[in-house]
Amino acid sequence: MLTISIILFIIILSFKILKPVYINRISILISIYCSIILLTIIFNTNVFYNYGISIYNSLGYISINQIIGQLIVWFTITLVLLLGESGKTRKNILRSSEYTLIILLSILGMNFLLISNDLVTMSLAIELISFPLYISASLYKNDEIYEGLGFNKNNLSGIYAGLKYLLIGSLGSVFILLGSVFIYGDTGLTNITNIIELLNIFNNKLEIYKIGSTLIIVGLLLKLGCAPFHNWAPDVYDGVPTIVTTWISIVPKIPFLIFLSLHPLFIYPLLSNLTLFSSFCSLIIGSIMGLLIFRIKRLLAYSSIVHLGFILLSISCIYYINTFTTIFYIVVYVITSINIFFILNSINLSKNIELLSELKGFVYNNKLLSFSLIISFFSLAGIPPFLGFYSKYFILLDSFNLEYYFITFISLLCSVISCVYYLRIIKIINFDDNIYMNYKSIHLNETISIVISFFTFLTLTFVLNGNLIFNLFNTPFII
Amino acid sequence: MYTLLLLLIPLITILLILPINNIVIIKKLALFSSIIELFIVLLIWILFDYNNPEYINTLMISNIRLGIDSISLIFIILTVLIMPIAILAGFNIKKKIKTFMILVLLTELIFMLIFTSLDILLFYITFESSLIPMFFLIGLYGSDSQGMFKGKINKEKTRIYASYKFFLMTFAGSLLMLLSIIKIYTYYGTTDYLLISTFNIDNNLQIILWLGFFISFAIKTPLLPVHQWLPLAHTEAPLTGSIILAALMLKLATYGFIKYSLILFPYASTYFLPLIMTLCIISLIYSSFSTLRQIDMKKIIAYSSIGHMAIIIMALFSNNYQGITGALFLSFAHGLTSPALFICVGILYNIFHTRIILYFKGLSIYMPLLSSLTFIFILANMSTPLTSNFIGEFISFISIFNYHFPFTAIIFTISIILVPVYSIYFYIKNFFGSYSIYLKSYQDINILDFNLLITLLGFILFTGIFPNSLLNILELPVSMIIIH
Repeated sequence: MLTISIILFIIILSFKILKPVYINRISILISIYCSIILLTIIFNTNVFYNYGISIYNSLGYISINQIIGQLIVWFTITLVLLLGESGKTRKNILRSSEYTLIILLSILGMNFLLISNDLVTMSLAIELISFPLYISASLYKNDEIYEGLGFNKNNLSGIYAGLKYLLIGSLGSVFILLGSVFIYGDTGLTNITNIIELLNIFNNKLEIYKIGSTLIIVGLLLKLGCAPFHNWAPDVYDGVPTIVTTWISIVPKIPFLIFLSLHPLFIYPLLSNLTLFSSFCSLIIGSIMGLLIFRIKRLLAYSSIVHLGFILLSISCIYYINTFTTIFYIVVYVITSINIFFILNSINLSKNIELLSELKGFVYNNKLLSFSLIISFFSLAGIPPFLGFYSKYFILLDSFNLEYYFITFISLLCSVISCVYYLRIIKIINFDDNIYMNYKSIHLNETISIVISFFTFLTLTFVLNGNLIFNLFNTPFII
Repeated sequence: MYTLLLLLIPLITILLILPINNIVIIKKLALFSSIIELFIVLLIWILFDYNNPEYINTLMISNIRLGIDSISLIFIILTVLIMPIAILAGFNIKKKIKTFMILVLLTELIFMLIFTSLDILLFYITFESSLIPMFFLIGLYGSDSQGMFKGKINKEKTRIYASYKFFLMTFAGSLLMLLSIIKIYTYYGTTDYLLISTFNIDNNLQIILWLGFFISFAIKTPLLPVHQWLPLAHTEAPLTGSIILAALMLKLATYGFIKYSLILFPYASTYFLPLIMTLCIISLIYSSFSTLRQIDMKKIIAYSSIGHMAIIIMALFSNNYQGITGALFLSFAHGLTSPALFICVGILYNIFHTRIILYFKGLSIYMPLLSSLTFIFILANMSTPLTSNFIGEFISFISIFNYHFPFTAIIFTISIILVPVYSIYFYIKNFFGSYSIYLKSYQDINILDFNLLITLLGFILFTGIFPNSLLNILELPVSMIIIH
């Protein structure tokens, strides 16, 4: 039903009758509508309680976990689309309806990926997610017209980033496709459920299948930008405008990660060492390389690599525990980083910032905004009373339960090391002299300020009564 | 009821301060709320039933139990005594007074939560979050000291280096405590302190868990190999920050050792006794000798508090009644004495804008009042009779002599000589002799500072002359720990 509504909407869009701004607003309404439908499904239905149903002639499979994944995606997308509504950005980014259209196309792919239960559907959905991303990375050339989007002034970084993204991303797709071919060649099946049944019969003795699933996971890790394959991510995230970074650095990660966590048998029991190794590398590389970085979006890219390491650690535990930890971590990460990107985008409205040092003395310009920025960075660092601590705590709990002592210790070490660069940002905002005196103070759009304040409030006060939120999620996650 | 009040008053004051822009009103509100808090705690102290080993004033907030017992009452009394003094000491700060007061009140709230929490995870969370206001206090209001950074004088970099070092070292240490807590939770399925303290934890497990707790508390204490953050943080922090650090932050370690290491892991506490003894002896001797070589006054007091904390920890793990009582009493006394000394140094810094003792000589000529007060506090610091330090150190030494007689006790006795050596040296160098040619000011202390010092002096003498007011409270719970 969801996918149908999107397809209809894309057809309507292609007629180009409406102004781009209205198209953006309509799509915001539609995504809110989808989120509400998904919420009602989650809270009112017991049909999907412990098992799902096959759809589309068993090409897809829906259970409560898939629906939660879709809800997270739609919720994030609503926020990303809202960002396009703010002040000067609205004028520039919505000069054409392409931006909204591209996002919606990609969303279609994400929904397909989440419900896919077949290797062919999976590959197609991944392609459908990826191509709009490549386009949106290189959508905005460096024109003087596009002010307030957060550009590098003097080079064609957007095009460069888009090209790099395309090449690396298609390499990942090729890996995934090759892996599917290997699996098909070995088993003669493409349906994931059937493959798992076959594996149980053969008692995990299919050698070529192992190669195939390794290739698929390597492809997915490459698309995510996890550590051994991470080099493209900082370049791409830094090269594109900030408003596009918000979109391509947060949203596409959600369906890939949830897909990985929903098909744990895809990884287990053969390949959990692969994700553990990747998590180890991500933690180490993200935390140590981030110390050297002075550009803000590059730094956020490295911090996202650290967080990917944590999520991969929890995905490696998922076969024995449950999906709650992973999904909670993803939600927390999305909330915090969306908050940071919202604030960065609203700073961009008055002054275009690229370097960390350009945030110097930001607290003198806008106290409340800098307060929520500080809270978000503390939360990303995992300092206790804030939301980010709890997500890390649950992951450590899981990995301790499985007696993964070494990687737990490494993850703690890395969270201390990565704390250094978060503290550096907080120092730059607070302790350094004011260079913002000459710039006009920032005036926020109402919608954006509501979103920022809500997320900051959530991050701050989760410590008071976390049970309120856990109880909401309790029912779906009981195994 | 009282517990809820203790938590609500700082919180409400913070909310009240937020919209106000008048500096005088902000200062008065903050001071007023901390004094109300003091009166409430005095009420709890008066109404306290010495013969009741249970937790009083328990309170449930969303499945987490809070409560006060005798040991935490001591620390709560210390907190509320120190807080008005810390706020008053910050009155002459020029910039961002609102943020300053909010940070101090936040610290008070967090300390109240630490000392009342009956949940291990809540203890960890509050233990960690006490770093955040301290980080901002050092970084934002840090003194413009003559700090050296990589061989050059750079005020700002030294300040920020100090705040980083403080934050990261304690953060890294307490993550190990988190590991232990997680292990407890995965093993027993609960983080409720009262429930866990009834379990007999397996001996081999105790050893691992104890190490996690010990490392984080040792960094907070600080014991020797991990002590570097303390002198730096003290020299760079503003006066209020130094007071809170010396009086309360270091006492978190004492509190943690008693409540968690001793009660939860009794076997491991005796198993690791040689390690603790070695570390304590090294820190005592090392800090006493390095105090003699320091030229920054705040560093002198910082190193001397490392020595005192070593005595406290040694007495704590001597595993008898006198030891724990003495350690608690000494940490209370040290929490009163070292802020007083920091205030004395702060006054000198405000007048002369330097803390290097090479510039000071003959201060007693123009500052009779300050020199006599400082002399009394120096006497208290080296624990002469009539002061509260004497009682604490006396009881501690009794226990140390009882338990580890021949070798350790004799080495510890050296401290009775070493502490007066540097204290007297410090005093003679600054206050006696002809008036220094570098000093251009000829004024004595003002009424605000005088009142601060006199208040602290009153408390020190009161607890020194009537030690039973505190010892009575401690009698029952300490013997409970020994039996346990």
